[in-house]
Amino acid sequence: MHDHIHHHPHPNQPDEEDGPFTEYRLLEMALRELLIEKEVITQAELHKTYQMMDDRGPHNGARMVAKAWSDPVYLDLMRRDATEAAKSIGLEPTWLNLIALENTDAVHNVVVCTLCSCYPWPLLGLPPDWYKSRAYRSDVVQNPRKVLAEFGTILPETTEVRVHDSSADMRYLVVPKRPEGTENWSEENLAKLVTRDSMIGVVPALAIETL
Amino acid sequence: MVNKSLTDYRGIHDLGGLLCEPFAPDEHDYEPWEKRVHAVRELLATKGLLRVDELRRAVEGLGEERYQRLSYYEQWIWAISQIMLERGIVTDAEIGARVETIRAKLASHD
Repeated sequence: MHDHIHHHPHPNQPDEEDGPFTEYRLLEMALRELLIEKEVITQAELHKTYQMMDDRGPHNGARMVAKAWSDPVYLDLMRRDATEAAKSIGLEPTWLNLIALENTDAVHNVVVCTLCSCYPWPLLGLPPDWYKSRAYRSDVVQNPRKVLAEFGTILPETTEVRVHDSSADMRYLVVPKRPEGTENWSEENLAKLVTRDSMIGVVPALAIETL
Repeated sequence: MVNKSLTDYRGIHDLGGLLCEPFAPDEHDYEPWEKRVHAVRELLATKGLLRVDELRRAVEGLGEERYQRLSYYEQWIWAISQIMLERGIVTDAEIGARVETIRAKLASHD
């Protein structure tokens, strides 16, 4: 393998912010160019895909959680068929077979994909590095309380911890406990308390003081 | 007969319950090239040219050393290339030639 090529911007990519051109980055550029030349994919389709990726983020999952906190009929639908619940508010989880997991005082749910990186990304966006790390995938199964503590989440011994292993065919969305003092809050404001990590189950939803 | 433990049958990707390095909740912002890899994968999947199980099978075929050394999207772009080769969409020679063309172009700007 050759040494890394230096980080001068590619003339066709003035907005390039990446690090050095490693072999794998060269492979990415080569393959993408070839796929476009062969009309397997088009530049326009790629741009549309970037746009779609940008639109997918934790704000989508947060809408579902806030609605589940506010609307018992919706919560019931989430419990029965979370994919349908997502679709019913205009979200498109497409291939996703989604299961909602409710955190309570008695049970705390946390999600992992031990084999790879399965994640409800239409609802949460792209997963954080740590979710895909070898350490998380191995340790959260073995010692979930210790991993949760790394996020500052210390649970009482009386709370049961359940670790859920995602698969290519089934993804989980944690519904964190509704924070105290939010009884009369609108769904829109409630959604601001629902973070990505709270929907993975590694932290609770934000407390109202933090807003 | 030698009794094998469960871990003897594990693939390199099968990490649940093993003790690896200590966990720390690190993350970085996605780099543009990583987003491009993700978009290409997404698009090929939409077109029925790359299934999620195919991608994983290729990633899991990296071998232990590369599986541990390569970053997530390095694994992905390698795996996507493998599937495109297997499906006859691109050839090894085309990829190799194009990588060299790009390398030369970039070097000439140094």
